[in-house]
This record gives sequence, structure tokens and C-alpha cells, in this order.
Amino acid sequence: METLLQNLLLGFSVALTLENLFYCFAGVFLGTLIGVLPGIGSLATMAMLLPLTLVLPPVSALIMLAGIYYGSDYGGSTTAILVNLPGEGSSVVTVLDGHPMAQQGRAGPALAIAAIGSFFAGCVATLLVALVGPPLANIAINFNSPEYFSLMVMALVCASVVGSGSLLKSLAMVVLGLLIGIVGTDVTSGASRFTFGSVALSDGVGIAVAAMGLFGITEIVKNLAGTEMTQTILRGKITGLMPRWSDFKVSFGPIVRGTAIGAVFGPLPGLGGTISSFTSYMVEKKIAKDPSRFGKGAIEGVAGPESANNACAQTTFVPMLTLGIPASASMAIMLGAMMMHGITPGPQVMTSRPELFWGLIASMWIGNAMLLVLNLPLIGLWVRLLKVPYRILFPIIVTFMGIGIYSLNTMGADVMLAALFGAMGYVLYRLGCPFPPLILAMILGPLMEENLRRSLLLTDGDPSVFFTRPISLGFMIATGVLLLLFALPVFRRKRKAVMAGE
Amino acid sequence: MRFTIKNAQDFWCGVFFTAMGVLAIWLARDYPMGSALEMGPGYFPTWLGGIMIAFGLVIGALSLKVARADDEPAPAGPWAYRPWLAICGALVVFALLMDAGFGFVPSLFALIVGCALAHKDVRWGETLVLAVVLTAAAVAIFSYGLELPYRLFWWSH
Amino acid sequence: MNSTFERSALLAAPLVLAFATVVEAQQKAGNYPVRPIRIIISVAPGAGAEMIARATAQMLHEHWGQNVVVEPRPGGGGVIATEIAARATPDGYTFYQNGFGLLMQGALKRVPLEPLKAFEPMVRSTQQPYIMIGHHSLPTTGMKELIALSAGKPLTYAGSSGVGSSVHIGLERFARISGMKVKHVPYKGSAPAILALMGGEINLAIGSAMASIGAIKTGKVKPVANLGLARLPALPDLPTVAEQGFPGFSVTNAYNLWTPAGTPKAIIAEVNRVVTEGMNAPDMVKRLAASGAEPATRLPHEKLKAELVAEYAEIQRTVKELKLN
Repeated sequence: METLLQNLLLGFSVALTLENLFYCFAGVFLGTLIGVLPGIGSLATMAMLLPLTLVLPPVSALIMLAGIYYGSDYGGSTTAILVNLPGEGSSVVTVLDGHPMAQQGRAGPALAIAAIGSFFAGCVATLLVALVGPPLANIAINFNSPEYFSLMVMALVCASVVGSGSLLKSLAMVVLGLLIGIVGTDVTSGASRFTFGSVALSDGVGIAVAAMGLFGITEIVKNLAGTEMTQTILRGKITGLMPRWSDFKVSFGPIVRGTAIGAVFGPLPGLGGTISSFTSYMVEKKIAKDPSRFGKGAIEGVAGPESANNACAQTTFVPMLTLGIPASASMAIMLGAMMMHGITPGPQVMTSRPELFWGLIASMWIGNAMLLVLNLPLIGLWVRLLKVPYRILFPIIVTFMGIGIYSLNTMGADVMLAALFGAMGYVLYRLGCPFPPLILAMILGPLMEENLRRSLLLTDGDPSVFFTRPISLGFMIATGVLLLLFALPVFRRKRKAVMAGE
Repeated sequence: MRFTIKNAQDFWCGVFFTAMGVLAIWLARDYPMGSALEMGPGYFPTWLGGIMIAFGLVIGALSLKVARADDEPAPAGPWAYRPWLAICGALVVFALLMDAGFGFVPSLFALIVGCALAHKDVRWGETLVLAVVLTAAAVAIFSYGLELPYRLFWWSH
Repeated sequence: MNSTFERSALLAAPLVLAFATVVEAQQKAGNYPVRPIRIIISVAPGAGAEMIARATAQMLHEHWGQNVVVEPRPGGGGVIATEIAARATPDGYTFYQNGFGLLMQGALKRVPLEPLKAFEPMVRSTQQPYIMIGHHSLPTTGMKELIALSAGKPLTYAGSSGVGSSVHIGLERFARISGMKVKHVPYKGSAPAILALMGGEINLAIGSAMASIGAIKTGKVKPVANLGLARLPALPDLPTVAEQGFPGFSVTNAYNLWTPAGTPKAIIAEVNRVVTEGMNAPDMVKRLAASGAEPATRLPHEKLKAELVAEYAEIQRTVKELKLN
């Protein structure tokens, strides 16, 4: 305990120098500004601003990069809430209740609770990283292919209850998402599938492209379809910029649970953010007294997933700091930055460069505080955006979306793909099909197939491996229980409906 | 036996998913299947296509029997052809112009004007002002601020 | 800040360009280069290859006084960058930095061109040996003993970026000459592969020296062999595969600078000279060592091309044997 205190003190003494505070703030500020642009997610923002940090001393550079990472992540949530444009997998969940809140004039509380939840999650998760970093890293090590596969099966079942609509249609959307996820190069065999010979599709359909097309374009088409002239996004009056006491009361539980969920999933390479947001949403919806409020502006649906996402953003650092292995593409950039400064990543960083390790951890906490300080005053500005007449606002949204998507790979094909998803999105909306299961399945599908095939390759085709390994078995049992839990009420209602129909 | 469609939305939903499943199986027809123990690249898509068809058929079949399967109200109002085509079309035109090298400024102009057509009454004056201001802002942010290396006009490099 | 400056210079490049086309006709290496140069890479910023490209660009900038811009064109498994580079004017102002990937794209027919006909290799800038690491429970690390061990149950291995990666092709080639029984397990990159090795899911993983040294320091994996031709200063006790009875065998991650075919010979020779010298300068060697790379041995462009032709033939043979295309 004492050494921990000493270490944290060392960390804060590094992070709290005027210089590093400035770089932390600059990172958060630039990150937020660029992250707000639709389509430019935290990964792109970090890549874009990486050269700026290279001229700084190593500790300052990493602190600034970390600031950019949080800032752009939060900037993405802002866009999701205000104009229904999710730029990455995890923001898809934020859209669900965040944007309805904005429409009801409660964008302020939604943005504020997202910042406050993120701050809480960030503080707790940072402490966790400092206290139990190495054990957390074991989560990543003990997850082998069978565990990943079972976890993803469970996540897909969860996906089908995120979003409204009938369970059957949700499950069908999961399957459609899995099919879209197949597009691209098959990891196991190297074969191209569903690419129509196009180079643009050989890396698969980008999540940002699909999510912005489905959610963003569909929302705009929907808004413009109204027979009466839609004046602004707002359906109601703006009722206060800050959350009410009652908002805090209902959000507290979701924030705590979201933090726990995010902290656990963070170290898992490749899927932390999205899975933790979806899981948190599913949990909140399931334990809510009135689940039907979800999707219509329930503040818990913003508080939980946003906290989960941010807790995960902290614990994602764990495998990189303790094992030298990046758990996400953003972490790979951090790792690259370390190497450019001549630091060999790995567990030895903790002992050989304690000022860097603990300075970074301390700056995570400071970064989260800065995020709060910076964004609470900005809320008033963002909310004013909603008062812009829609006929002016929607071309602005489409323009920024178009540029953002084009900039992903400098390819027109991505923009056309987004337009296709938008066109399909409106059809699916008319058919009453929810989008979130499709997006989650698109993300998880390729990973699920890869891990299934790898598990079977390693066991010479023995499927019992999913049930003999304890963690995997746990997920499988949980999946079964969840399925029963979700299916029962539906069947009961359906039987009633069938009888009533006859 | 007489079939009446009790829920048109679900009926077309069933048709849509069935068609998607058929499309998937057809596209995957040349991928090696492998076996359950050693799956080839065609295994997953073909099975998923089959499951997709099954879902489509069940949803379609239920629409013949059940009026409402869930509590969600179906979206009301006529199909929004105009914004649907205008927005998606404007994005496609933007993509084509950018790829063909017409330059950032003309492509943006086309995108914004195309977008404005989505609104049922187009105010040309306002649209032109918006196009000029927004293009200038985008060039300032993306070309100068973020230094994205897009040529501004077809004559520039 | 440096790169900001470089990029704004790129925006000013058009002015110079119009004038440059006139100069081109009578251009000799003597007044090369007269305008900015770009180095296209096929990976996203932050990747190892970008660091090498950046180091090269900075060195060239200091030497020539011209701006040298790194242009990342990721996507399509590297195919996008290859196609953009192939379309560039062969005037010596577009470099394409690529290692093994370009040859593999050709062998797998992912690109509608023959790499060695569409491009001319100018110089090998750096190389990096791959390091084989094993799970800590592996009973032995000697190559001969491992080969004997594999007779009972094939050893599972993974590395770099899955099917058709340099590690995959290299290890299968090793299996053929040594009789080692191996089973390739594809992962989406070396990070998940090393993590899987730590968790004991596979027996062996092959990664860059940098990643491997980091992993070894966790104590969860141990070094097995150096796949390069010479021992590494960072791992002096780790024997190479070559010295364990397989002379000449190596799997390395080498970066070459290519240019579209048709580029004047004089320019190629000049680039070869400047890059080879620049990469071997003491400061640069130190900088490269930090990311586990080392400067390539001096290799005139004709020799490099001959080496690549041989390597390409070998790759095509292995691809056919593994039925990858």
C-alpha cells in the first residue's frame, strides 16, 4: 500500500508539472474538437495528431496522446447524442437513448451525465490499473480462442435485446450483421469473400461506414419525411443544461455497474469498448422497472454504456503497460509512439522507467478531470446547435459525414457504401428492424468465426472444448439462461396474440 | 386455404430477409465448404444464409396469422422517396467526383446542393449561400486545419 | 512540427511541379532531386513500417534539403498502396516502401501486375530478424530437439499477420528442409499471437525482436531461436537457426524502397548510394536499434534485384505447395 502511494505520488509529481498539465489539456482539447467531426474517431484523431507529439519529451508525448484518446472518444459521443451519428461501435449504444434525449430538449443532461459517468469510471478504472494491473492482464492471457467464441455467442444474444422491436426481427438482424461481417478477407484461409472483386471491400465493411450510413442517413431521411416542416431537431423545449437530482439518482447504479463491466472487458484485445457498452445497456434494460422507456430517452441508457466505455478505455492500457501488447488499434499507436521515443514496451517499463509508467497513470486521472472541466461549459454551446433550423443543419451533417467517411481511407467507395447502408437503413426502418444488433454482429461476426475455426483447428475438431474449459462453460451457461429469460415473455405474449388473432 | 396478409410490414420484412439469405448462399456458391471439423471459407456464409432464409420464412409466415407481433407501432406516413434518393444520391455523386479528381471544392458544392434537394421546398438563394459558406468552412477545417491532402480544384495538384 | 512543415510544403508542391516537368526531359542524377519526394507506405500511421519510413524520410531530407513526405495508404491488405505506387510517374519522385508484402501480393495474384516488372527495387533500407519464442513450458529450445519433439505432435505456431505472411511462408519452408512437423494457427497479427502464446494456446510464436524482447521480459515465454543470419546485440546468447545446422536459412523482415519501372538508372543508383550511407550512419543505427531494426548490408541495386527475383521464385513455389492461390 505504501509503495503504491509512493508510486502514485511519483506519478502525480510528473503529471502535475505545468508543462505536462498543458500537454494533457492540449491533447484533450484537440481530441475533443477533432473527435466531434463525424467519422473521425479516436483512432484517426490519434494517428493525425501523432506527429505533433513526436517533438515532445517521451512522458509529455504519451500524456498528450492519452489526452487525445479520451478527448476524441468523448467528442464522438457528443456527435452521437446531438445528431445521431455514431462514429464507432461503442457510440451506437449512446445514440439509442442519447439522441431521443436531445430531441426532447435534454441534450444537456445527456452530455453532462456522459461526462460525469466517464469521469467516475475513469477515476475508478485508473485506480484499478494502478492497484491490480498485472492480475487484470491475466484476464487477457487466460482468454483463449474457446473463451472468445463463447463470450461472443453470449454477446450476440445480448445484442438481440438492445434496441426495440420484435425478438425475431432482432435475431434476423444479428444474422444479417454476421453475413455483412463476412465481407472481406478470411483470416483463417486468406480467401476473399463477398468482395465482388473490389479492393475497397477486401478489408471488410468499416464499422464507422455502416453505423453512420444506417443511423445517420436514416435519421435524416426520417426527419425530412414529416409532412409538416421540421424546424429543428428539438421536439420539446430545452429543459435545463445540467442533470436534475433525480437524474443523478437513477444514473448512479448504471454508472457503477458500467464501470465494473468496462473494467473487466477492457484488457481483452480487439473488442473491449463495443462489448462493454452493449453489455452495460443490456444489463440496465433488463433490470429496469420499465424497460420500455429504453430507446426513448432513458438517461440510464446513456450513463451506463458511457461509463463502461470509459472504464474500458482505461483498462485497455493494462496489456500494453504490463505485457507490451496493444489491446486495440489506438493502443498500437501509443506503443508505436513509445518505440519512436526509444522505449522498449513491456513489463520492464514499470521498473526501468517508473516516472513514465506512473506519470501516464496519473495523467489518465488528470485527463478525465480535464475532460469534465472542458466539456461541462461546452454543453451550452452544443445545445445551441440544436436550435439551428433543420433545413440548414442537415446539409451540414451530411457534408461533414461525407468528408469524414472519405477521409477514412481516401476512397470514394467508402462514401458510396455508406450511402448504400443509408438506403438500406431506411428500408429496414420501414420494416421495423432495429439496427444495433446488426452493428454488433458485424463487429463480432468475423471474430467469432475466426475463434471458432481456430478452436477447432487446435483441438482437431473437438467441439467439446467450449464446455470443458471453465470460463467458456460459464459463458455458455449464461447464454442459455439469457436465451430463456428473453424468450419466455415473448412466447407468452405471442401465444396470447395468436389466440387473440384467431 | 386462403392467405391474407395481416401485417404488411412483417410480410415484406420476411421477403427481404429471405432474399438476403438466398443472395448470400448464391454468392458463396463457389467458396469451399469444408466440413464442420475443418471449416472452409464457404461454411459460415452458407449456413448463415440458410438461417437467414429460415428467419425470413418464419417472419413472413407469422405475418399471415398475427396482426401485431410486438408493441412497437409501425412507422407511419408515406415512403420518403425524395430525401431518400437525394441524400444517398448526393453522397454517391460526391464520391464519384472526388475519385475522378474534380477536386474538393466542386465535389463539396455538388454534395451540398444535392443534399438541399432533399427538402421539399428548396430555397435556392439560401442553398447557394450555405454551399459557399460550408465549402469554405470545410476547406478551412480539413485542408488547412487537418492538412488532408485533397486537391482543391481539378487544375490544382 | 517538422512533419507539419513537410505537409504544407507538399501543398505548395504544385507550383514546382509544373516547372519540373520541363526539367525532367534533360534530367540527370546530377541535379536530382529538384522537388519534394513522397514515400508511399501500405500501413497506417503508428506501425513499425511507418517508423522506418519516417526515419528514412528525415535522413533524406537532411541529405538533399528536399522535403520527403511519408504517405500512408493503408487498406486492402496493402493492395491499395501498391496500385497507387504503380500508377505514379517513373521520375524518381515516388518511392514505395514495402517488404515481403509486395512479392506476396504478386504470388497470390492479388494485384493485376507482376511486382518485379511493374517496380524496380532501388535499395534495401533496413532489415529486422524475426525471433522465435516459445511457451515457458516448452521442454527444450534447441532446434534439433524441437524437431524430434514435433514428431510426436506437430508444434503449433503463429506469427506476423496470418495466412501468407512472411513468417507463415518462412516457417513452412523451414519445415520442408528440416522435417519439423508444424501446424500454422492464423491470428490477426503478432500482438494476439504473442498473447495466445503467453496463455499457452500455441507452442511457438514468431515476432519482431522488439515485441519478442518485451514478451520474454514478462517471464511467460522464453526465447527459442533467432531467425536472422547473425546474432542480435540485444539477445547475444540466442543462437540463430542457421548456426544450429541450417546454414543460410533466415526469415527476416526487410524493407525495400521501390520505384515504378522506367525510372532513370542514374537516379536509382543515387538513391541506393544515399540511403545505404544514410542508414549506416552511427546516429541512424542507434535510432533504428531502438525499434529493433538494423541497417541493411550494402547491396547494389542489381544484386538486390537478383536476390528479390530468387526470393520471388521461392515464394511462388511455397504458395503453390501450400495451395494458397
